[in-house]
Amino acid sequence: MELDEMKSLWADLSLQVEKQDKIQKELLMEITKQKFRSKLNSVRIPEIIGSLVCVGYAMYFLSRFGEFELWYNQIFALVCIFLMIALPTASLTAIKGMRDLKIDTETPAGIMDKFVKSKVRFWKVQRYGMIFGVILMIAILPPLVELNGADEIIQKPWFWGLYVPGGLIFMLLFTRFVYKKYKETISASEKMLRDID
Amino acid sequence: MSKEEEFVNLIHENQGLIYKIATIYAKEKAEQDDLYQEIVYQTWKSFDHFKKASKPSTWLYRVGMNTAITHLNKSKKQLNTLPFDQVTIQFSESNDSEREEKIQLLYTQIRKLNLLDRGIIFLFLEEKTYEEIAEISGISVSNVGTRMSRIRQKLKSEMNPKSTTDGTR
Repeated sequence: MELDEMKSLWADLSLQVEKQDKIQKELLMEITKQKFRSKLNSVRIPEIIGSLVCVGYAMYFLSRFGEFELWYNQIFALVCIFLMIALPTASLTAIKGMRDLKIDTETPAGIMDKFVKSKVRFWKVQRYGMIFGVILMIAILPPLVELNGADEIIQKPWFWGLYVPGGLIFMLLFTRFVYKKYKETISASEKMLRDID
Repeated sequence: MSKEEEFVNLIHENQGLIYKIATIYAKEKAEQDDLYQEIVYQTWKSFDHFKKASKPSTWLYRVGMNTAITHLNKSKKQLNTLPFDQVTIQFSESNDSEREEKIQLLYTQIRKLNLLDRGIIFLFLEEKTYEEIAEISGISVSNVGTRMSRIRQKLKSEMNPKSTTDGTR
């Protein structure tokens, strides 16, 4: 099939499309309004809840910082406060970067490039988040124990028997998930970038 | 005329264009309906810019293609189509079954191209000049030419595999 024939087919198709029943005008606005509502409902609830929990804990440590008597717990608490603010901020910023693409001002080639880069950035943030998550998991324990006066709990072998394997299994599953998604994103992104060149 | 009325008129006049974009970028009917609704929504979201746009026709092509590129990559597994029976995309099929078959074949082959090339051939079939295609898609005019000859070869060989192997047209 030559391009001329394709063009003639396309012209036929365009005529057919123009002849079809159009969606009623009042329904068009209704679609838009309903779509808007459904977008609001699909705001990333898990990310927001996770961020609120992190900020809540950071505030808790900050408000009771003066009660830490042990110097290393002060350092652990500072590390935790930093991570619990920095990690959700980085994650939400990366999500915002993916959502804020300018559909109407960018060109398709430009939007493909920006979309790919923001997606890669998102998964990079998740990867670093995973590493710092392990540090947070360990660093949060001593200051929490000191604040709640539960020193005896961490001296019990069953506590470590549950906390360490449980934490490691969770991190292992999460790591596998993130690594798989990261690899998929990178290879899909490379293909999309090759398509633009 | 209110903003809503202007918007509704724009969409109403360009439903065919939106339909064609949805059809070349999405294969399944449900995906096409979802993409159609998403383009309508994104057009509304950016509608204030439309009024300032120097070339409104270029603007709508760009919004449609950009929405297709980003939306399909974001939501491959979950569709968010609203349940309006009247909104589903339908059009009467032509009586000429051979021609209808060729149109379907054309769609199938276009969908095999990468996202950017799909947009380029779409604009070409919409009778846009190379300059207009370059302006809408954001690549240079010479790149449009290069891509067009590549697309032409690819479509020709896929739609007429025999002619390329035999060396006949």
